[in-house]
This record gives sequence, C-alpha cells and structure tokens, in this order.
Amino acid sequence: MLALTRRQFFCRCTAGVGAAALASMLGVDGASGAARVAADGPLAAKPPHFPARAKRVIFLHMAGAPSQIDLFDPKPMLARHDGQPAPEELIKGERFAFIRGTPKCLKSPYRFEKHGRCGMELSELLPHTAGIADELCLVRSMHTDHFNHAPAQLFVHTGSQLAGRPSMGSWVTYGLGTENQDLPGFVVLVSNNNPDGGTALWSSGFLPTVHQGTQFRSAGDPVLYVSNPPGVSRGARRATLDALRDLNGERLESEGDAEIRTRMSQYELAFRMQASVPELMDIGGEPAAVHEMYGTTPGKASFANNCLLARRLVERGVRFVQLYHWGWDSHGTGSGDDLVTSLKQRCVETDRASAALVMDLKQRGLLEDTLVIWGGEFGRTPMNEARNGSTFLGRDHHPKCFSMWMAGGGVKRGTVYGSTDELGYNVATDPVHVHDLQATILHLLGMDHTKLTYRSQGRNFRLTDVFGKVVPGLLA
Amino acid sequence: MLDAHGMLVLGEGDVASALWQTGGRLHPILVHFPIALVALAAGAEVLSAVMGRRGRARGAGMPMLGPSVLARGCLVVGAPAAGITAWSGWLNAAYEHGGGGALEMEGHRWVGIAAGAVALMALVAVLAVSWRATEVGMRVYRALVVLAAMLMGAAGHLGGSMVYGGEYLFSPLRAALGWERAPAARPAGAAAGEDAGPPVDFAAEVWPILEAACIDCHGDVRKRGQLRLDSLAAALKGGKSGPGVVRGDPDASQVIRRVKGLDGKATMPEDADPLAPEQIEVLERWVRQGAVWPETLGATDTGVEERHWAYQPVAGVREGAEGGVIDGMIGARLKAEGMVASGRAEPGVLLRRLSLDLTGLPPTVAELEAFERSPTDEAWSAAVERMVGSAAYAEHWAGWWLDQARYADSRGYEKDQTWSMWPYRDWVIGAFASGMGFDRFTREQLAGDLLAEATQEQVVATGFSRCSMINEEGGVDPEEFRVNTVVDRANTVATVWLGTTLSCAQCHDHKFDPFTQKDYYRFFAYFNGTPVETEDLGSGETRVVSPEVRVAHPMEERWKAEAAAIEEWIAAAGEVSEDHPKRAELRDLKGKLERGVTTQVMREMKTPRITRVLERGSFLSPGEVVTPGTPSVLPSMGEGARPDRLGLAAWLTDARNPLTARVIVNRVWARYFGRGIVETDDDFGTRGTPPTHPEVLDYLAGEFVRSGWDLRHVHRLIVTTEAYRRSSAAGEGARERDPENRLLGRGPRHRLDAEVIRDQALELGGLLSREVGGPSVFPPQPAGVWGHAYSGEQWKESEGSGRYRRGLYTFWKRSTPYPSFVAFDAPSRQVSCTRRPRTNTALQALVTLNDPVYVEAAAGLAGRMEREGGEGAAARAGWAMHACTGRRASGAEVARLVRLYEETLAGYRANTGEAERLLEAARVPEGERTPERAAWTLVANVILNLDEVLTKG
Repeated sequence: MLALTRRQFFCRCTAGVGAAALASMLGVDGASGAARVAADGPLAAKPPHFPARAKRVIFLHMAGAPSQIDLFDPKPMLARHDGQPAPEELIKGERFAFIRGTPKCLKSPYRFEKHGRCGMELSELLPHTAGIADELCLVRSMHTDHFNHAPAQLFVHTGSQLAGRPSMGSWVTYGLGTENQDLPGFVVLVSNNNPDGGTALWSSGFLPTVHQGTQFRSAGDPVLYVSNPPGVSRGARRATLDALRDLNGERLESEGDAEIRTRMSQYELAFRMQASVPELMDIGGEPAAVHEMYGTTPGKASFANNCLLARRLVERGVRFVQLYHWGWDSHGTGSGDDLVTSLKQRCVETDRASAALVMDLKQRGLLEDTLVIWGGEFGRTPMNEARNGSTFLGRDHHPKCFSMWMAGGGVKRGTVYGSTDELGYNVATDPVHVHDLQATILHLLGMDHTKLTYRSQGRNFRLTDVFGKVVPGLLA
Repeated sequence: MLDAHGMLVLGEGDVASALWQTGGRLHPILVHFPIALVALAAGAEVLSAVMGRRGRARGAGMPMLGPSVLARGCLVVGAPAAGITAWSGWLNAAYEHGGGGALEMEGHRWVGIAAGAVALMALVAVLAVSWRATEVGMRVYRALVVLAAMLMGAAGHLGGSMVYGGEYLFSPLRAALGWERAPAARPAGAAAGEDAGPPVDFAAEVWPILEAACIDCHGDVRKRGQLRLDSLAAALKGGKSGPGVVRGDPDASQVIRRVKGLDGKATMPEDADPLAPEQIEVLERWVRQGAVWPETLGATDTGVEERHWAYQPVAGVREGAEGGVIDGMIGARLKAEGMVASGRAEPGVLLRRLSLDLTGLPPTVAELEAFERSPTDEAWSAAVERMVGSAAYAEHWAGWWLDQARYADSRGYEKDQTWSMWPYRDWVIGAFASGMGFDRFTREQLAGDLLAEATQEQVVATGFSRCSMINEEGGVDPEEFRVNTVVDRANTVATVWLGTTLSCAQCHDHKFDPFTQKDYYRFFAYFNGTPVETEDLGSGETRVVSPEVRVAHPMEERWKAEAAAIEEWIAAAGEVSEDHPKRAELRDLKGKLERGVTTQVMREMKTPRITRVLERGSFLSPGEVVTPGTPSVLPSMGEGARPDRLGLAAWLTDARNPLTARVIVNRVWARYFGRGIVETDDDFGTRGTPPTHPEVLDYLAGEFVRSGWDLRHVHRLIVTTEAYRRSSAAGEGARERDPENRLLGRGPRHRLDAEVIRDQALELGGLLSREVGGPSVFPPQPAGVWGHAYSGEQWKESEGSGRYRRGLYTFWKRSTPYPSFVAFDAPSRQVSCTRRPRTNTALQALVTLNDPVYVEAAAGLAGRMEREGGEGAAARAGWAMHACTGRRASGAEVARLVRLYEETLAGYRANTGEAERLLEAARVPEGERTPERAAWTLVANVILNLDEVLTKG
C-alpha cells in the first residue's frame, strides 16, 4: 500500500509531535477527558502566539441591540431632563436611523442598585446577572461605526460592515484549531429568530470552509443531515461505511492521492458525529439542579437551553461557541418592541441562563480559561424615539456608546471599565471600539491580532482590518 | 580573551572591547601597508638577484652578496605591519562576522596569517643575512620574501572578494570580451550554509520582514533611493547607495548596513520601530548564506526598469498543430526538471473527465461504451464537438460565470428580499449556447444599455452590474450604500476582467502594484452615472427604486395557460368558495401576469454625476474631481474612445489589453486542471503567484483573441492536449517531486464543485430534469434553514421537475445559501468569487450520505441497476461502477459491493418494514419497494459516495 510520501510523512510527524508536545505544555487537554488532540488536519489544536489566558470563547450576542441605559448604564441626570428636548449641541448634524426632528430625553423606567462586593450598579431587570456582579468586567464605553443591524452585527463578528469576511470564530479556529476532533470547532446556536446578518455572521469568508460556524439546531436534525435516512439503522450505516472504506482504500493504493485518505477519515468522523452530536444535544440527562439553575426544559428551543448546550460544548473542547438571541430592537413602535413589555420579556428569557452559565462554568473550574461575552451590536439613544408619534417607550439605534460584559478567561473581575457622559450620549472616558474589543479577545486567546492574517485577493486580511488596540484595562 | 577553541571571547558594551572592535575595523586600512611594503621588498630582491646574475654573467667583478637595502628597509617596517594587520583582521572577524563562518572568510583568515608569519620569518632572515651573508642564507631569505609577497597578494585578493564580490576584479573585462557568465549564486554562500548558522527559510523568516518593514517604500510603487527590495534581481542591483544585497557578504549589503544604522545614516525602516536584533540576525544570516530567494515570492520582474510580466503585451501567436504547441511547452519544462509524464488515462475515465469538464454531467453508459470501442482522436474530437454544442455545456459554463458575476436571487442585506434577476441568468446561458464572442459578451453585460438601439436582450445583459447587493434596511443612508454599490461594480470588473487588486487603491495608493488612488476613482467613475437604487422615505423606511425592465418571456404564456385551466376548472365545478386554494392560486397567477417577468438593469442618468476621489474611501470625505479613465500603467484607450462603460468594454477587449485575455483563459484553465497557470487568478499583480507556464498562458491568450474571443476554441485547445488526457495516478517518485502537479506531469484530479456533485447524482439516478432556464426552483431543504425576523419569505418546496433541476437553477439566497452547496464550498455570492476553495469535511460526508436528494438519487440508481445492469448481483454492481466512474471495476471491488448487497439484503428481508420506510422516503413507487431495491439503494449510496465519484480523476 502506498503510504504517505516521505515529505508528507515528516510534515505530519512534526505537526503531530509538535501538537502533542504543545498540548502537554499548555494543558490544551485540560477541558475534559473526552477532548482529544488530533495530530493533523486543518482543525488540529495549534499553539497560540503567546501563552493564552482563555482557551475558548462563548459569545452571547443579543441581536437587535439591548438598551444599555435601561440595563447597565444608570443616568440620574437623564431623569432630570426627562421629557425635555435633547440638548442642541449633542444632536446637531446627527443622523438617526428612525428619529426625525428633535427627540426628547427619556429616563429609564427601571431602578438601578449596587450589587456585589464591587458595588456594580445594575438594573432591576437583571436580578440574576446582579448576582454574579463580582465575576463581571462591565464595559460601559463600547462604541461602533455602524448603526444598522446587519452591518453592525457583521462589524462585531467580522470586523467589516460588508458581508464576505471571516467571522471571529472562524479566525479563532484558523489560529488555534480545536480540541475535539469529533465536533466542529466553531458552533452557532440561535434562539428567538435568526439574527439580522444571517449566516454571513458565521461565514468563514475567504478562509477554508472547515472554519465556518456550524449551526446546531434545536428542531429537526441538530446538525444538518446528521441523521440516517428512514430505514437505515446505525448497523446498516456502519456496513455501508465499511464497504466505502475498503473501496476508497483500494483507490488510495492505485492513485496515491492523499486527499483520498483525508476523505476516508472525514467519513469516519461523520459516523462518530452521528453519535456524538445527538448525545451532546440531549440535555435530558442533566441533573434537576442544573435545569433549575438555567431554567431549561429539555426538548424546548430556548436561549436557556442554548446556554446549557454552550457549557456542554466547551466542556467537550469546542473552541468557539456563538449564541444569538434576537429581539432587543426596542424602538417602541408598539408593545412588541418597547421598553416596558418587550425589553422586560427579553431579560426574563436571558438573565437567569446567562448568569447560570457563568456560575456553572465557575463551579466546574472552566471559567478560569473560558471567556464569556455578553452584548449587542450597538447601543440605544437616551431619547425617546416616538416614531410617528408612538406612545410606547422606545429608543433608536445609537452607535456612539453601549455596554457589554465579559467574564472569566483572563478579564478583570468585579470591574466597571469606561464611562459615558451625564446623559449617556457619548463615551466620556476610556473608549473601547469594536476593533479594540476584537483585538482584546484575540489577545486573551494568546494571539496578536496584527499577526493572525490570511492572504486573499492580493493582500493580508485580519479580523481587525488595520485598526484595533488591545485594552490593557480589561485584562486581569 | 580566547575560548577553548581559540575563538575570541567578546566583551560587550565596555570601553575596552569597543577599542578592540575599533582596532578590528582598522584592518581594511592597515592591510594596504604590508601588502605594498612586502611586495616592494620582494620586487627589490628579485631585481637585485637578476642584476647580480647578469653582473656575474658579464664577469664584472665580485658577485654582490647580501640583501638589497631597499628590501631590508621595507621588511623592517612591512613585516611587523603584516603581523598587526593579521591580528586586527582576527578581531574584525570576531566582532563583525560572528567569529568566522564562510569558507571565503576562513581562506582569507588563514592565508593572511600565513602571509604575516612568513613576512616575519623573512624579516628574521633579512636581519640574519645582513649580519653574515651566505649563498644558502640568501636563497632562503629570497624565497621567504617572495613567498610572503605571494601570500599577501592572495590574502588581499580573498579579502577584496569578500567586500566587492568574487567577480569584481575581472567582470568589466569579461563583459568587454563577451565572456560574461550568468551571475551564479556564489558558491561561498551555498557551500558555507552549515558554517553560516542554521539555514534560513526565506518564505517563513526573511520575506515577512521585507514585506513588513521594507517594501512599502522600496517596492514597485515608491522605489525610495531608487532601491527595490521586492525581488532578488532588484535587491542585488540596488539603488543610489549601492547594492541592496551582496550575496555572502552582509557588510557590503546596504540592507544590512542600513537596518543596523551604520554609515551615520538614518536607521531603516525610517519612521518606524527599528528591527529587532533577532530580525537583523536573520537578514544577515540570509545574506551570508547566499541570499537564496525562491522564484515564487516577490515581484517577478527582473529589473527596476522592466514592467511586471502581466502588464507586458501578450507574446505573439505561435505556429503548430492544436494541442501540440501546449504539450511542447509543458514537455520542455518536465524534461528540464528530469520528470517523466504519465501515460493516457483509460478511455472511459477520460470521457468522464471531459464530460464533467465541458457539461458538468457524467457521460451516458452508451457514450462510454462507444468511446471505449473506438478511442481514437477523431472520436475524441467528435465528443468534444457534441458536448460544446449541448445545452448542458451552456448551463455548466454559465455557472462558472455566475460565481464571478455574483448572481443571486436575493438583494443581500438584512431582509435579503427576493428579486427577479433570473432573466439575466438565462441571458448568460443563452450567450454560452450561441457561442457569443467574449468581446461581445463583455460589451453587452457592461454597457448593453448604452448601445445604439439596444435590444431588450442587450439591456437584460447589464444585469451583470446590477447583481451588486442592495441595502434596504430602515435608516440606511442611501448615499453610503449607493457608493458601496458602485465600489462593488468597479471592484468586480477589475477582478473579473483584469485580475487586479485595484480595490486595494480605494483608500490609498496601491502598496505593491502601480495603481494610484486616483486611478481607482477614475475607474469607479465609469459606474458612477447610474441613479440611486434606494430612497429614504422618511421615518426610517427605505424603498428600492432601482431600474428594472419587463421582459417578454415564454413563462408568461405558461402562466396564462395555467390561469385559463383554473378558470375552466372553476367554471366546470360550479360553486367554488372564495377561500378555495384554487382561487388563491388563480389570484397569484393573475398578479404575476400583471407584473410580468422583470429583471434588474443598468440605466445611465441624463446628467452624469461628478466623481471625486473619496479620501480614505469614505463617502463623507470627497476630494479631487476625476473623470472616467483606465489605470495609467495599462495601454491607453486611444483617441476618440467614449468616456463611458461602452468605451471601457471596448478597452477591456482591445487586443492590446495585456490582461483580459490572460485572465480569462487562466480561469478556464483552472477549471480543467484545478489550478490556474497563475494560481492567484484574481491577482496578476506583483504580489500574485507568477505563472508556472507563462508561454502556455500567452499562447492561449493569443489564440483566444485571434479566434475572435471564442471560448470554445480555448476549450478545444486545452482538451486536445496530452497533458489534459494523462492518467491522474502517479508513482511515489512523481508525487513526491511534484505533489501538487504544478508541472502537469499527470492528469488533473480534484473534487467536483457543489452543483456538479448534485447534478451528477441526479443524472446517475435517472432523475435529472433537463429543462433549461426560467425562474429559480426550491428543491427540498430542511425546515428552519430560512427564517428571518423581518422577512416573511418561506422556502416553498418545488413539486415535480422543480425538485430535480440542475443546481444552477436552485434559488440562491445570499444570506442563507442552499446548505448542501455551502457544505461543498459554494460561495454566498455576496461579492464576486473567481475561485472556490476545495475542502474535504465531515459535513460533506453527511450531505452525500443522508441529504434526501442523494437518498432519492441512490434509489434511482438502484432501480437502474435492476433494470439496466443485467442479471446477477455482480453484473449489476459492475454496471453501476462503470456508469459512475467510467472504468471497469476489478473483481475485488465488485465482490466487495456484492458482499454489502448480501449483508444488507439479509437485514431488509428480515425486516421488510425498514426497506419500505427507506424506499418511501426515497419516493420509490409503492410496487417497487422490495428488500432487493432497498439493499441496492445502500450499495448505490456507497458508490455515489466513493472518492472517485466525488472527484474528477
């Protein structure tokens, strides 16, 4: 049988030995006994540029952009100006997505209180999040360049407002590979509707599609086509794959093309996934206390279920888990998108499970090297949108400031970073641009965002375009 | 001061070692004294010896015994100077060259030391013979002084070679006499690789430093100090201050001197952080080891003055038989590399390869058998003609173009609403079917609307530019997205026709290719004259207002007939309630008839928009006004050219344009061989990969233009080569020598494209619909793949033939493309795609094993095996292998499939319910749902998943 050519053999050996040595040095295998380090393949675990603080990421994206003013960034001064026209100097020459004319200031209808030993001020809408205040690194000075959902979401995840660039999760698996070769390295879970940016948000762009986010679905096949057709048992499938392996093996011998070997191993991986994915997705076996903590109901499609799945995924060595929960677009055109009913409902859906995820990771010793990120694509105005004279309370899109929180994975605990002005219109101190956040996330993963590049159409591209600075104030 | 090996141990930073170092640096100055003095001494002594002999011969008195006074004087000064010089040389080597290394340096060192030692011995001798002269003493002394002079000369020459290069002394003479050799890599560098530190990997270590730190200013564009560092030739040639790189000699290389900040000049890179010591060390080591620079990196031009190859005119047309010319060129290269090409593939495999390449479909069993009976060149040519004349050819190559045109059935952003664009797709199919010349193909797509008395077809063709995405999200700034759209149109044309990265010049002058930002906006200006495509309705609502035309299309006749049939049915049925589905269907049809078939087109505004350079690419920072024009590095448009898209189209397909023909034939070639002659088919610039076979590229490009831009001529030239018809199997030697088959010593072998994999399975399963054109269809797709908060559009599964149409008719939604195509690397078509990646993943395996389309195809193939495959399991398995791979399977292969058949048959016989379930899911008619059919379905499933079937081999 024609084996690998000598050169290929040595290349692989080096990669394999390197990866194994690295795994032992960096403790890559630390997440779980189930995780395996593969010796080769495009998703084999690779060394970071420098020792990493975080080994995996769970990004909870609140699609539609949650209102920072009603959740994270208390503005007593806004209450004093409630109902008054927004100051001329702030809004002169500004372009809003929907607001026309001079908008009026709108105080938050919710109370803020101090929480934890750190005394972080958080809204009454987030009681469970308040309970983990001492774990959080809350950034109140985020800002972005885009104020429409799809471009701004693409901007957060790909560094560009235009579709077609690789997503952060793709960049991360491209840079670091993944630790479990029986599962994809970049998994996407969606609840309450698809995000505005569509699948472009987890596209691998010009990177090989093996780095594309794989959506695990709550209904139907958890991974597309993972189930055998009706009338084909697992035994029958094994029999067909045995025949396929034998025939492909003969071809490998006569053709000598290493691609055949890769394909043979990918079919075996597919077979393993047919078992591992349903096992992973079945949360029925989790103890009652866990369901209680997250608020999960097995078999139901929900953000809570997705949070629990996220924990099960990182536990198994998946590198990047991306959740989307849509519905934060609180314009106030009706009760379906206002601050009083709709925003409260979104918080009920997400608050408990988000906090449970952080606590659960902590209890399992995973929080230390798992970075959890919570936030949307932009912020919302301190003014009432009142579109077409709507009497429902709502806020327009606002790119100039918004809040996000992070936990675990080498970020400061119990910290508030940055601030906005008295009315919550502009960033006042320590601005963090979206590209800075991306640079910081990559830094925590042990990668220099200026060096993680890929050549396409004649130039080297990177997640942060030609911008971005690591924010030292966020690092523990 | 000396370590165990006799090497100097260096101090660092203290005054004493600085003094030592300075002493070392005196070496090049000191060296001249002993050479001159000892040479003079030797000369004087030789002269006096000759004079003495002549004197004796003439018998003029006593022979003069004793040394020449001049020689003695010279030696007294010169010999100690030689010793000091040798010592300073040692120091210099230690401080400046890391203790030694190169062979040349070692030669210089030891010859120099020997010269010093012999000179000192000569000094002793001269003092001795001055004291008491004897015949023997004089002979020894004279021998010593001559030897010292010779050694000194040799040491001096070796030292000079290190500084100026070995060829320095005689090169002008050699050049004048016509003896000049091609400058070879200096053996010193190459041979001394081991002594000169660990070998440097240029691509991994050196090139990134040059790219990051040097080429911005010392590249094709800026050439500061007339120095370029983006190719070896340019670096060797150097600039104002001398050679950038002197092979083997870091000290003489300006690159090294300047990054170290020597010579009192600014440390390079200027205005940036200096290089790290490790980086400087890498560069020095690289130079010392001979400055090895592989051809595949950097600019490919060989001199500063010479233009990049891709901007030079296409080389002239060559004479020769079709195919023969290309094979000659490929063969010459293989021969030069000492490689032997594989023989022809077997006929059935070849015909499958040809059919998949030209039509995207496998050959029929009858076609296979006919060609196997008579695999002659005539039969081959006949097959080629049959295929390029088929509708399947037009569809398959239209698909190739639609990736580049970023054709899709939805607008792209947020809601990603459906739009009617398919008449443009059908226009492309029609253009390929009619064999339209690529010049006309270009003209009508880019400027059909501007043609005098443009036909409806010509206007539909302009849909090419209208395939740009439109953002209709609430609150967008229409101007911002209008600019984005124009940018996309300009970039797409630059990439698709010119293979350039002009888009890099959107925000600043191109860093590596000779395009300025102004060039960019002049190109942009061609596309800037169309009206806005969205408008802000106030209160954040946006409406699409883009130009579209209504097309008279046979579809309307079908709708009319369907509507009439329903009306008839209602009339016959008597009372039919208003909410009856038939009435809804009728309303739907009537609506369609009222709107008609429309498609998006280009339309120029009456008053052209003024185009300005956008600073940093931002629509908020307009700058200088520019007029439409083409990049200045390329041949100009000529007098009287129209300053509009029509003029641009004419320029693109002008025979003098060096890029279009090369870029297009290269992309055609890539479809056959899996890789272009220029691998970066979207970047023919200095940073792209150089062509593996430049002469083949130019030959094909020349033929393409000469034939009247006939793509079918290019196809014929390629598929009639031996290179194309070789077997893809390769022995270990060949595969190891050329793992990626860049030299084309064997036939192409690569995975099929997404649509071809699906079309092939449907065709082999006897299910493929051959209907051409019409609205896009919705074959089965798992529920829940679509779904968007602000879009109510649903994937409504097509019934009937719509389930089995060719892949290019599948509805292409940009935000959520057809999932089984995505798995096989189909692009989303948000932007132009000229080259799909080719991955090999487990998700692909799940698609072809379990996607219902493939299960139906397997059941279909199973039915054909039972009907067409003859009697007996072995015959049927063999028949299917032949139909699917084009070759006759071996006995072992057939036996393995029969074994699977028997195993699974036993299972299905024991559990007929399972067979029923499988075949029901596979839409097999009720009467045919037998355990045998189910078992054959699994066998067919295996065959359709063979690597060989998913691959064009």
